[in-house]
Amino acid sequence: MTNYTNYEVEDFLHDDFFIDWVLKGTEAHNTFWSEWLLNNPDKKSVVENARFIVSSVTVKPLDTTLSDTEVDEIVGYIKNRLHNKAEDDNVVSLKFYQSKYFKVAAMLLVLVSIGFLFVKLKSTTSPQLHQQVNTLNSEYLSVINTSAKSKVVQMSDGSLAVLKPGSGLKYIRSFAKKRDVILDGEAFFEVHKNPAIPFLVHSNDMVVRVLGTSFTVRSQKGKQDFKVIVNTGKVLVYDNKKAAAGTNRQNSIILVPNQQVTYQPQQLKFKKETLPVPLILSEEIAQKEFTFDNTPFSVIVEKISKVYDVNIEYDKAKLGNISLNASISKKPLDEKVKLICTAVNASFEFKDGRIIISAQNQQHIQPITK
Amino acid sequence: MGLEHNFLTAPDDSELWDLFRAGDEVAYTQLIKKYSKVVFNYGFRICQDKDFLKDCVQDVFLELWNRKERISPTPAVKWYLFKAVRLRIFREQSKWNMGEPLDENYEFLVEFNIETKMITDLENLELSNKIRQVLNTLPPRQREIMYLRFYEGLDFDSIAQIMEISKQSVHNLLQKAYKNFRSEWLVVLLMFWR
Repeated sequence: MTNYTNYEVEDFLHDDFFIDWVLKGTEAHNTFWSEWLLNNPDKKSVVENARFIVSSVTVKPLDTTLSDTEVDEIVGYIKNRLHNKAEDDNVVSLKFYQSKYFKVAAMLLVLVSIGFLFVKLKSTTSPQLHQQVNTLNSEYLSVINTSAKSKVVQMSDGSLAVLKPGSGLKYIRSFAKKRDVILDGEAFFEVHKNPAIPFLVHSNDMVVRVLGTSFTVRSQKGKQDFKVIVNTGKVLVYDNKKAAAGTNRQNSIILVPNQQVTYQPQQLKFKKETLPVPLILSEEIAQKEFTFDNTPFSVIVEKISKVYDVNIEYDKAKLGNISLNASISKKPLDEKVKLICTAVNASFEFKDGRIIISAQNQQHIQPITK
Repeated sequence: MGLEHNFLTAPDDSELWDLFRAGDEVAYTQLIKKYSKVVFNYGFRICQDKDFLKDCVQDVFLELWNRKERISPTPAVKWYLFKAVRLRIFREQSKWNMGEPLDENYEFLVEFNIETKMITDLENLELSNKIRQVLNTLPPRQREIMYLRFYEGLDFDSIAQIMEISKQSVHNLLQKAYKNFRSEWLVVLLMFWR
């Protein structure tokens, strides 16, 4: 026990046991201090002064507090999250959507839902959880690329992902409230700008938050390493698990064009590098690569197909030799295709991960197969 | 004041905590009901955005549930929740502000009063107003320590962990705070006891 005999007023104000006596005054405290004061009568005024100070400091209650109703809302919200998670997201997010804090709230809701997705995906062993995964599937669409070529996936807001062979992508059917995708493998993303609803890519425990437009994410199941490469715009990368655990605050990293980050979870380390050669889709290179002067349609299509690693099908005989002047470097993939199609009076669609271009004047002819 | 806020050692807390850790949802709900207001109150002093903070409080409780197997058997509920909410506020804010950490120049909103029943005459009232002024102009960290120790009744070890500084730093900051109104306090005390 501390020897209090030489304590002055301020020393008592640094002492937990003394302050607790004044604030909480349990039996044990009272017994100790009355006995101590009996043995140290000369310290009575010092103790009384310190007591006076401790008990005189009070705090004015806040004007803003949580009402009982709001507490019940929180309880209800949390219970929903624990039981029927997927459906109830909509209800809550709608509520915040209407408020002026929508921006912040939307971001937080996205983060909240992730926590659960991981929980559910990782614990599919119990039958009850299986059911929840199924309800989840109705809200999410999945694409698994088992073919040998990349697949284009268009999401509801028009953002595109080029999914590499052997990779899988799961994304929310409607991006009206949040733009959340889960990636296993490698994909190139071209994301439409929408500051109100951040675009988030989850891969294992890593999250890429899109602040700009295009980038590649690469992660492999067996291998824990994780890589993000940025072509244009700006992205924020962080480890969701570490961020939630709060072990390291400096756990996020911002990437700008021609930078890549590699993350090794075992070492808890981000390795950020600037690429020695700028990417073909970065602004400075793309401008040269995607400015066409009297160039045949077939060459332009070939270029797009190669750079984005996508399959483009079109009628070579009919369209291939039409020459074009075009500068399409600043357009995302879908805009690029749209522009060149407009120029040759053709239309296009995304189908089964491919881009199908059809000449306009053939539209009335029924396809021969299927 | 002290007793009212002393949730830490309330008799049923350790029981609630044990039940909660064993996965009892009723106990978990009781913990939420019991602590969400006090956690909100603390958080609001750091960040005055109600909806943002409500989300933080929700997340903190969800995280508590998800981590229940790994959580300490000691029922230091308030300490744990305060630490979690403070961390989350700073982290979410810095994420929103593109990674710029905010916690070095945060505000800590608190208005201190001097217990009025102790003020016996006008002269004392004037002095206590002075002390209150000094208290209310302290830098945020010092104010936060005063708040957590004298209002929330948390001990210095808990405060150090909540604020992520050493216990020595807590005492150093407290000493600086006391220094500011040492002279005023002494006058009040002299008058009070004369």
